[in-house]
Amino acid sequence: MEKITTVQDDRLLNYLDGKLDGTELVQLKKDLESSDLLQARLNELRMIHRVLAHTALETPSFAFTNKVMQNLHSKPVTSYLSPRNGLLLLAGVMVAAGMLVAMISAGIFDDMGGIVSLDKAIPVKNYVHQSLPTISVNGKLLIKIIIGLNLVLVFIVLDRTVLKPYFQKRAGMQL
Amino acid sequence: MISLQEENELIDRILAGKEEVYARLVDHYKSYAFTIALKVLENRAEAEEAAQDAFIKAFHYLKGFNRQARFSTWLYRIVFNTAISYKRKNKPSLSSIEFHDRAREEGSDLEKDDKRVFVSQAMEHLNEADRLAIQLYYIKEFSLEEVAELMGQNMNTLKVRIHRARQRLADALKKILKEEALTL
Repeated sequence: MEKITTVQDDRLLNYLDGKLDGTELVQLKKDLESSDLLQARLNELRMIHRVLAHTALETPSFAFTNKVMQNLHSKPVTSYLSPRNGLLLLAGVMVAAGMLVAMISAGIFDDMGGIVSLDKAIPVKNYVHQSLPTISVNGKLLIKIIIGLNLVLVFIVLDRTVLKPYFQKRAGMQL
Repeated sequence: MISLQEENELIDRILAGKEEVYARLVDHYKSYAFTIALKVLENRAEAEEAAQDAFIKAFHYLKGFNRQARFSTWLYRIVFNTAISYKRKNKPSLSSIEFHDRAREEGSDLEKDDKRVFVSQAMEHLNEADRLAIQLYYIKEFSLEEVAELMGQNMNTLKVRIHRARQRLADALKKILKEEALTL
C-alpha cells in the first residue's frame, strides 16, 4: 500500500509555508495530480495550517499598561522556589529543628563537650614547632546554634515562598 | 506601528528619565507579550501577571539593551523566559482544560469553528515543547527566525520540530475525525 513519506510531508509543508520555488512547485503540482493520497494528505495539512494561521492575538486586560507603569519601580517577582518546594523545605527544616530540640530535652547532648587539644587533633608536628592551643567545646551550645540557624532559614524560606508572593499578589490585585 | 527610529528615540527618552514614555512601548507590545505568555502558560491570569512582570524586568534592564536586535525581539525573549519560570513555579495549571473549553465555547455551530475544536483536540496529542513551538510559529507576523531566537533554539532544529509537530497533528486530527464520524 502506498504511504506518504516524511520527505513528501516536508514538501507539502514547505508548499503551505510558501517556501517552494518554481521547479519544485511545478513538480509538486504534477505529483498532486497523479496521487490521490498525496492530495488527501495536502488537504489534512492545509486544514491545520489554515486553522492555526487564523490564530488571533490575545488582548490583555484594560488596566494592563497602568499596572505595569504603577509597578515600574517594584522589584520583578523573583522567587527561586515554587510554593510547593518551599513548603516542603520549610517542613523539612522544622522537623530537623524539632528533632534537635527533643534530643536536647532528652539530655542526649549533655555529655557532649570537653576540651579539644589541637596538638593531638592536628598531626602537624613536623611543620609547627610551637604547641597549639586547646579549645573548650560545649556540645549543647553548638546544637543550640544549629537550631537557631535553622530557625533563621525557616524564616527566610517562609518569606520568599509564602509571605512575599502573597503580599505582592494582594498589592497587585488592589491596583 | 512604531518605526525602528521612533523606537530608538522612545528608548533614549526613557533612559534620559522620562519614564512615562515607557507606557507607549507597553501599549504597543502588550498584545504580543500577553499572547506569548498565554501560549506558554495557557492560563490568562498567570499570563497577564507574567507579561507585566516581563515589562517591568525589561524596564529595569533597558540600559543593558544593545540595539543590535530590535526591542521587540529582546522583549519577547524576556517574556518567554519569564513565562517559562512562572510555569516551573506554578505547575500544574488548569491550562489544557481552559484551552479546550475556550475552543469549545468559541466553536459554535459553524464548520470553521468545528475545525478549530478538532485541531485544539489534536493539539493535546503533542508534547509541550512541540505545541509551544507550533503555536508561537503561527502567532501573527512571527518568522521562523524570530521564534528560534525567542525559544533559544537553532533555526534548523526548530524548523524540523515544527514540521514534525504538524505531521503528528495531522495524524491525530485524522484519527479524531474518524472517531467522530463513527459516533454519528
